[in-house]
Amino acid sequence: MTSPSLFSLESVSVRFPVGRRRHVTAVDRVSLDLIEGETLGLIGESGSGKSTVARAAVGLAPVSAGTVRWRGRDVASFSGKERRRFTESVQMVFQDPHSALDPRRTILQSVREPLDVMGRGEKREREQVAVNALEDVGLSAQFLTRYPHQLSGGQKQRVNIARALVTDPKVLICDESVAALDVALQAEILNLLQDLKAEYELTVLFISHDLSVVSHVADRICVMYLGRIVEQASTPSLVGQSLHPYSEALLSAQPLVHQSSSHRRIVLSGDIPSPLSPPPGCRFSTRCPHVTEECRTTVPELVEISQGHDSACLRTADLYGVERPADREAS
Amino acid sequence: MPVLNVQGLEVFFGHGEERVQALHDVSFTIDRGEIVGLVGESGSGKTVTSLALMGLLDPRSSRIEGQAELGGTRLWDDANRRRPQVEVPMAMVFQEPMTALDPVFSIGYQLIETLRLRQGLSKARARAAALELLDAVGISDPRARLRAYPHELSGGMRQRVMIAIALACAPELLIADEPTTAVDVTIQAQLLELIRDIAADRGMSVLFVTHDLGVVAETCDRMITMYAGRIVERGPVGEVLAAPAHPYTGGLLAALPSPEHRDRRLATIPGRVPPPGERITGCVFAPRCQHRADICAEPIELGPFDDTREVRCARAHEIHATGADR
Repeated sequence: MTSPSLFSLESVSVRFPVGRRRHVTAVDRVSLDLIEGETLGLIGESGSGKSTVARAAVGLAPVSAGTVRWRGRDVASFSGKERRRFTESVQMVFQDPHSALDPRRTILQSVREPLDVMGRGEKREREQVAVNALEDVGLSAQFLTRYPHQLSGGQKQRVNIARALVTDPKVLICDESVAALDVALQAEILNLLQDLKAEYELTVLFISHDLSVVSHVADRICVMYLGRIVEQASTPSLVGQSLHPYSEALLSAQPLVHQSSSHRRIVLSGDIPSPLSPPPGCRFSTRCPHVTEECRTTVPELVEISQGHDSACLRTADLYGVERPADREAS
Repeated sequence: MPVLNVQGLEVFFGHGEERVQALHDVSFTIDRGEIVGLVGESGSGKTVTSLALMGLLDPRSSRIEGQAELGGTRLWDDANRRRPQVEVPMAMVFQEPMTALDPVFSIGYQLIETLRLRQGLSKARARAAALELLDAVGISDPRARLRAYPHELSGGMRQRVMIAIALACAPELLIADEPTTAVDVTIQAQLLELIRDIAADRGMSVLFVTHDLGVVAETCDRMITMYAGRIVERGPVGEVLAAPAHPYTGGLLAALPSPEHRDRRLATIPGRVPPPGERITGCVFAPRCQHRADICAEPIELGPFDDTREVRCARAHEIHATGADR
């Protein structure tokens, strides 16, 4: 990786106890780098662990193994003061704009709260910062004294974004931030995020299940399946020629308004297996149309297949005509 | 001969001063085996339309006007007393299968109950029919699944069970209200294929309520765009999506993100849907329309656009000719 990564996960696993000394591995040895100034898309279906990755990154979920690094330093080694600065620098916007706001607080109070918690400056200054942030997201002064129930869904999501911005973060993590909105509103919020990214010089981790949204905003995309990253590439590369059968199926399952005649639909059979008992070998092997015996037994690692394009499929040579480097060395 | 014929459907909520009109003169037909998409943002009236047809609106708080016939049978009489739904061959699949299924009864119980009630089958024959239905909706090992409770199934499976229960009513018309919104894309692809196959195999008509134009493009034969409780455009899906005649349909289409338009700003529709009850004399979409002109202050009816399409826009031909809304 040439450019320095701002934020990186190194082989991070998250395990949750599920009783009787059993654990579910929600995230399994995931490594990813967030490079300053980019928008990284994280896509996957429900249960793939994409939200858990984000929560582990900011410390909202326990990291069972692996390291989270902020500007090259392990966040676990941070002192209280450093930890606080790190928390300020990474902010999150959640899916449901309504439940993310306290119904008993006014918009101004909600947006000012992170600054109150940090005890930054005078109350008057904090209020000014909050007002400015609200202005940046397109909400005028008349909204300051309103309560969440008086706002529409799109306005509430703007408030959530403003609240994430008051601490002047470096990284914004958007977890399904537009999933609950209608198309027209979704377009508005996506535009707003693009504008704010430029204005605040943000690095964005954009999590979504919607491939069309992710491919619109992201520079690079990571595809997750059952707790693991199965493919990682730049957006044009991934959308143009994906090197993993799951990404291919995901791309083809996306309902498109303008169908090209060459569009070949891959309908996967079956459901995502339970993370409690993931299949041995490749986790996608139970639904993969190209499965072989080897796939059922060998766990494929995520390796760089071609320039900047990683895949965790054992059969890239047969399916896409690009060999895995491990095979090249072995032979 | 259409299976469903809706004429001048209007729905009012509340009484006296506070009465608001949620639907305005909604008329459409659906042919046998046809899948018609009902499209719009939240608050456009698409769900109220389907609830009104199913007879699920509370008569104490709402009033329905207009007429609807399914296979020649009126869904309600002139006095607006709704007939018991059990006699009408139609069924509905809802967005959230977990809340639509009863958590304390097994899948088999709920399916067999419906079959006995709607088709008058004996217990043994209903059980056999239930197994057949589960098999038809693509559930593996149906015998074991009959004993399963809703929480033991995945979201996609629950929705398949919901479709099986709907089919147990032997419906001529299936109303599917956002049936794939709560499931993942790969599961959505499976369910859409299932609904299409069933409609084709059984000659069942489907009213497919959705906000997702991609889903409409893949599933439906015709589409109806609703805005603020009114139909603003309708026609064959291919033609409408290739070149929408109404600026609102055009706006919804332009707002869709896609990899081809990366780094470009998405088109938005400024403003928002007017709340029901707001008095509007001219075109309802005019306040948000970029093609607004003086003529838009005049009342406008749904009228023919070309041979196959109808549109509620005074300037449709003008705008369309310039191709300004693509």
